[in-house]
Amino acid sequence: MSPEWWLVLLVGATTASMKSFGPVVFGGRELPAWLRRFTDMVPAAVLAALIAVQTATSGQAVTLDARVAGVLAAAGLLAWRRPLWMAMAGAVLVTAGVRWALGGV
Amino acid sequence: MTTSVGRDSWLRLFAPLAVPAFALGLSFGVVASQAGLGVLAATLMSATTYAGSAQFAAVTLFGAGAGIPVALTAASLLNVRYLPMGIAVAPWFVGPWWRRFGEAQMIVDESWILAQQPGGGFDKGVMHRIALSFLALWVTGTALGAHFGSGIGSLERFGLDAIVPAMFLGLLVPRLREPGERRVSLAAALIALATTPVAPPGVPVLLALGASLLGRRS
Repeated sequence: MSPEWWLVLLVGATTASMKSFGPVVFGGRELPAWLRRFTDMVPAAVLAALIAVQTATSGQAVTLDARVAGVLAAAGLLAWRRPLWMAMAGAVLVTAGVRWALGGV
Repeated sequence: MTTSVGRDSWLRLFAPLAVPAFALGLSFGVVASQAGLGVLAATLMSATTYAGSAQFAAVTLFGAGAGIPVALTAASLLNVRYLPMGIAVAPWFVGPWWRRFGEAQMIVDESWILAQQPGGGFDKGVMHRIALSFLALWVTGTALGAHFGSGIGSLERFGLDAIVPAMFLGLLVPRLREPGERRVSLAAALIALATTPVAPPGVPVLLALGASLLGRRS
């Protein structure tokens, strides 16, 4: 088997095992109360961490670029109680616009 | 199980993701072909691994000659958040182990988050519909990107890289009304940014999940 196929196989197998660890090991059972207090908060933490990483980092650098302007525009639209799709469209337009104005891609 | 997200409105949740799902697939296909993967390998990887950031990292490192152990380690670190995310929704996965294993492959950030219900529930039907729709576009995009190679414009030029964080922000905002979740969110964002320069990609998000310990539902 060539290296590319080893890569596909091994990355696939480790990803599958990580995705399924919780559902296979703990599936169908109520989690204990002490763990529930933690897992109830995980969605908010996942959202906030992904927003931060996807908006303000590139590789291992913290960066301020057009994405920050776009996501701030989305925040403004949400604060103004506009629907989610409008906030997402605003983020795309502002990001593309700022990037174009700064002259880079 | 009652759902605030009705049977029809999952499509409304998914619709804005259709363009970025396809465009991400395209750019993964291009990156994979530049890294030396064939069309079939790239497409099968998207269909079976189905974890965007890990695939990009693995393939980029592989193409740069880093070797499989390095590529695999980087991909695993980017996927390690699936351990706590999977445990959090484990009670909703029932049936024999192989079924739970199969269904868990439909966990990706977008489907996992959009299937969360107010008050702490999880709608596995929404997860499946969103994940399968996303997967279809992601795999199609990969095949086309790998086939046509670098003749395709970048995701960034059109500002599409801002669409997913904007969606996540929209989903986070209603949660911020609660002091516990507000505290957790702020801490998680700060931990993720503070650890980005010193930890390998993927690890900051995992560390940020530790912020969940700060919250308590009132």
